[in-house]
Amino acid sequence: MTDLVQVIVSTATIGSALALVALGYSLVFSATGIVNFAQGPLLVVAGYGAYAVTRAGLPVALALLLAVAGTAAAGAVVEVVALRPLRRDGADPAAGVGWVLTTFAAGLVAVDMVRITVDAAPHALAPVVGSVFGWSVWRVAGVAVTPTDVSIVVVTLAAVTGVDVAMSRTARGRALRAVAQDREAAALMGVDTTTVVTCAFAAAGALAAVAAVLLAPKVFVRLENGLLLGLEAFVAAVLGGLGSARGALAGGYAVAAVSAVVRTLSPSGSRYEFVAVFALFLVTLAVRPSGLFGERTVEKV
Amino acid sequence: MSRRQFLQWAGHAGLAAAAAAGAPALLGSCAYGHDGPPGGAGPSGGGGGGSSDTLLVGVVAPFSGVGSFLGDIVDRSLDAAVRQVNSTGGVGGRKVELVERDTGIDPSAGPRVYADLVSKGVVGILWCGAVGFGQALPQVRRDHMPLVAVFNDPFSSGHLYPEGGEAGRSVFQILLPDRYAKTVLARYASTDRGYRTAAYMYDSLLDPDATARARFEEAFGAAGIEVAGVESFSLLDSDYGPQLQRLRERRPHVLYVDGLAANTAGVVSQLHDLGAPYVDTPTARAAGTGGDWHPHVFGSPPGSGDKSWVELAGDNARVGTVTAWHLGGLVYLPSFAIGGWMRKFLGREPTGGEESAPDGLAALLAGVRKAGSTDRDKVVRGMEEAGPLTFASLEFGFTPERHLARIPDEVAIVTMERAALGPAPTEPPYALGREWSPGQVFATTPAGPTQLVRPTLEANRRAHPALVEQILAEGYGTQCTKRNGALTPECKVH
Repeated sequence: MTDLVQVIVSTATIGSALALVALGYSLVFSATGIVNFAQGPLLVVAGYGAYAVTRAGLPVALALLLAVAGTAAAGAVVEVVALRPLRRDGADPAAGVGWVLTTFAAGLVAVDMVRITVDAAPHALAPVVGSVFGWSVWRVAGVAVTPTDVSIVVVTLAAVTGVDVAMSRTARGRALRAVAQDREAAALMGVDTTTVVTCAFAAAGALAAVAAVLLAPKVFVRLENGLLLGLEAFVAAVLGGLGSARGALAGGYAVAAVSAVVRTLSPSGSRYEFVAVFALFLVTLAVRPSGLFGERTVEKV
Repeated sequence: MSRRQFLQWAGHAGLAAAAAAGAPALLGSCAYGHDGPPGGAGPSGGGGGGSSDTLLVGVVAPFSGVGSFLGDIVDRSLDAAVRQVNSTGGVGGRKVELVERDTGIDPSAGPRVYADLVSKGVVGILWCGAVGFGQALPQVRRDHMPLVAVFNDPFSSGHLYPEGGEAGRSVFQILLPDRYAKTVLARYASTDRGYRTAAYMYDSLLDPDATARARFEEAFGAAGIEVAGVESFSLLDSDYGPQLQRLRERRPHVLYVDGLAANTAGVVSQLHDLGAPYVDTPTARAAGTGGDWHPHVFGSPPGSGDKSWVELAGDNARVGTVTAWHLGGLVYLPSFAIGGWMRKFLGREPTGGEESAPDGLAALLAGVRKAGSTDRDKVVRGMEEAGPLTFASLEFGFTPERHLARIPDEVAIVTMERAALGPAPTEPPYALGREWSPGQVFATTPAGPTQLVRPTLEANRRAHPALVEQILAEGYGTQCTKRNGALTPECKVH
């Protein structure tokens, strides 16, 4: 029983954080058809930004808000410096591979900027929700559940639902999908494609900030978070289906569940965590190349 | 100290880096088409060492990536040390100049960076915790390049001369070996605390061959402590729930966490959430007789040697968590020069680990002085024959039979104390060391390392009697000092 509860709790918390970051990948992919490899580094920008705010004596809730705003801006900057130049003369960045290098480079620069302007050491952030009516830890079958765990899950479910609804039922969401499907046609229909794409990058940055700050009490603020969470969230996004909010959620939980099960089954489980995750990744893509919730695109000739 | 980081493991970091490096590593390595040194000097090679008025010293450290905080420490401590050397005339009238290189998180960059330093004509190399050490070692051996392993640990893996063979004679080690640390901690657990069972949590990504795990089992087994469980995690893990659930069933007295600061902090935080934080020695021992599980957390030097893990864990960090360090690493002692140089040249305090790279530099320069030449073989012999050196901190030296700077009697046990919370209640009471007094180095910090003198007192006294007398007389780090100044076996039981 304890093992089962442990797997559920580990999957819910880590999986939710992965889903938030994966949702960022999906949003950008929806708007541009590319993968923003600076998404992981934006976690670092957000975490260290929030840390800098709390170090100045401000409350962590305000740090969260400022981190969301600041990282959204950083996300927009990534679009401007890493993607927009590739669109010169009406070129489609997704048709080439230049975006791989430019978004990756933007991420490296962002992390180095953090290292230079803040520092490289790991730091702690207080939980945004430390206790609820005096409840600070609840033990279910001997497994600890904290307000931080619950807040990550609740915020993630809300974010995924919100994005899912926005994408399908709002004008901006439809504009974003239209830009992804046919940028030129969307522009002819009056969609400000540049703004739509920039907004997608900004929203992805904001989601990374929420994940970074909410998860910080468990994973701390570390330079390497961008690499690990960024990579695992990328796997989650592809697994769930790039471009799908529900897919991001399913992918995040799938990746986290595999990790938790492997570590629960064996004391040496951490040795095989990555192997298991990537095996799942490969098998899923072999069976469903577009991911669990990805839409199959049919080219009409 | 934690800064001396994954250092001990850096040589084993191939898998970690392979997993962590990803595309940047690939891109980085693709930028260079070969591993061998371009025109590197051959066996028993010649000197170089810079122009007639400068002496070039190579420095390899993790200036970027996961370990970049260590690179920062290396950079500033060597900055202060080089200024000190040059302000006193340099070496034979030649100014010392550093050539710094970074391997990031890419072990395959080791040979490339090494080759680049050879091409610059460095007189020797300080390898300061950067990955790629093991990969570059064959070339170092081939070239007889004088190299000081500042934050790498070839001794514990059996690769340091003489155990590692004649071919590696040009390599010397400054770092306190993990082998010594685990032996002293095991003895402390058994003799001072009376623990009979221990569990081990280690980073399987940084120790893929489980060599550190084997050292744990050997050391604790030799101390008569049963190994009740071994669990692994990866460097970047944040959830230790499954591992701690398994260990709770076995209820070991000691939980040894062999990782970095974030790992130690994560484990103690999750122990707290599980209702199993460390309380005191009797409570930890009671787990074996039906009591609740509250293990005494022992940390690795990189993961628990400085205050960073306490800052990460916050109130969940319990006073009494211990690790091992060496006397020369107590950089807050006023008799150690590194603190003064950092204040004088950089206007800042050392944070821990700053003595190591400067002492490595001093050893190399002493070899050049002794040799009167930059010929590599002569410099190596010079380093062996330079005799005892006192530079940044404690006296040390190498001999033709011993290329390791540290000796077992220099190992001290270190714990964390919480200034913000005041001294933890103990029975009998003890006094915090003088470094916590107003105006002293830890007075304004929430937490800091404090040396536990008594468990290693006699050994430390054998090694450095004058220093130990100073520590006792002036009250530095003496948590075993009762208020009347006497040291007793039962001190620091809390």
